[in-house]
Amino acid sequence: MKDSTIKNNRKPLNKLFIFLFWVAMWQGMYFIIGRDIYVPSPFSVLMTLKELLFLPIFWRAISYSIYRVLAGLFLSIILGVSIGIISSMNDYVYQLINPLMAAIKSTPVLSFIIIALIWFSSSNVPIFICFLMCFPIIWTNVVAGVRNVDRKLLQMAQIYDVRKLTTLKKIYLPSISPYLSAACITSLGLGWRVSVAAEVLSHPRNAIGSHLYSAKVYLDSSELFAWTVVVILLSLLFESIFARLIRKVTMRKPSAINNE
Amino acid sequence: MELLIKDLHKNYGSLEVIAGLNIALPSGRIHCVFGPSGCGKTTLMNILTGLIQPDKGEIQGFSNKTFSYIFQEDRLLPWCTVEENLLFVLENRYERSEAVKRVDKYLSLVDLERFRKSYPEELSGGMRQRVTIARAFAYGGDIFAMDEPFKGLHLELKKTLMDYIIHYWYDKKPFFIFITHDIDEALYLADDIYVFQGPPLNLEKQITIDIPHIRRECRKEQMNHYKALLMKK
Repeated sequence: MKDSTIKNNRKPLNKLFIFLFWVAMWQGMYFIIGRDIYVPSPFSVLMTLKELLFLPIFWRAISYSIYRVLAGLFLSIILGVSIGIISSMNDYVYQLINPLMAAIKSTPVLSFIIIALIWFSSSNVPIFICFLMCFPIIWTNVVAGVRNVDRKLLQMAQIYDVRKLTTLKKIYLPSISPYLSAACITSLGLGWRVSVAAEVLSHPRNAIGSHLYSAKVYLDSSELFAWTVVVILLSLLFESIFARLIRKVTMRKPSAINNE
Repeated sequence: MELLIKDLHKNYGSLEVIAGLNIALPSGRIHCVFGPSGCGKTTLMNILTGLIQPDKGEIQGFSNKTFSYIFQEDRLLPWCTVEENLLFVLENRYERSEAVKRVDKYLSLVDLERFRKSYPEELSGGMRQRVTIARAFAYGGDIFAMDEPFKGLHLELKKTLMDYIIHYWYDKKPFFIFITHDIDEALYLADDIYVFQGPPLNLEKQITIDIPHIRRECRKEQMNHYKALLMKK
């Protein structure tokens, strides 16, 4: 008991210490290099961030970027799950889709961004890129999930003549949900990175990536760092919200006492 | 409804599990498939219920029938409660209100009403087995196929359930076939006992018990005679 309380008290302290250690390393780098344009000091980045917080354009950029990531992710989940289920049930479809997924996975993101710039309006490019990058992850995991469905449960459903839709809802979906949630968390982190990258190149009016681009044009390193910090924080925030959401959905209600 | 098995063959790789089996099982009797473990009994049951396809041969009399299969393992949905597990198989066959009524009735039969909201992992092995028995009876198929249904149950409950099966059978006369390697279970429940050896599965002998179930306990001598027959190699 005592042991665990000490551990619990130590944990946030530990985290704080680790955080301070890396900020100190950053500060040290700044002292060694001594030029703001290469490495801005943590303090100046913090000040820039503080200034940004009071600009309406900052909040607009953030909300549009969030919208793009979520839209891309949503599309990839919907299509990834449905096509994943279809292709794991039908081997021909799987053989057909698999090379496409392998191709998407090994194509550089920039090739896609450049072609998407030609296809779509600037605001939609990041959505498409986010979708395209997350889709293979979701698809692969759904296929793996369906392949791991317990055959014996399916036999049971077959013997008792259970409807296909009920089998899908009560056997397939619960079996793939751990695979799917892992895929979603991975996709969320990736989605942020690629859609910001797409925004840098397509620069829509309101976007984090557009601000990163202008920071680069004006050689404003502390603003570049400040926006980057924003992306990191948002990505972490979404990941933790999402993980919590999944835990809530998959957690069971407390059940009756077992006393035989 | 008579079940005819004609020239049945089944191989797993190079292992011959069933090689040319012929039997006729008449309706209106409780059939017991008796034999040592690993002799191919479960494979036979899976072929009869249509879960696996034979390599060769024919099954007549089981088409378009509904099955209540008690598997050797529990095969319960781990993410559903006991109640939801039963409703899972009942939803397509019965109206909602009838399904709920059946859940109540059969959970109380196996003495598990208190655990209707529990998940399978919270139950002991014997309790899970009872849930699968409740599932099979609540479903009420034309054919009851049971693969060692009383495994892991204590004597008292086993007897209650066997009495219930006999009662149910007299009432509804479904086609009943069960697998066991327990001599007492076979003698208590079966009308026809098919003794198998294997693999490959082959019928060694068939014993017919011509005493009605209710009289079996008082006719000890005759039952002992059957017991001796079953035990004799």
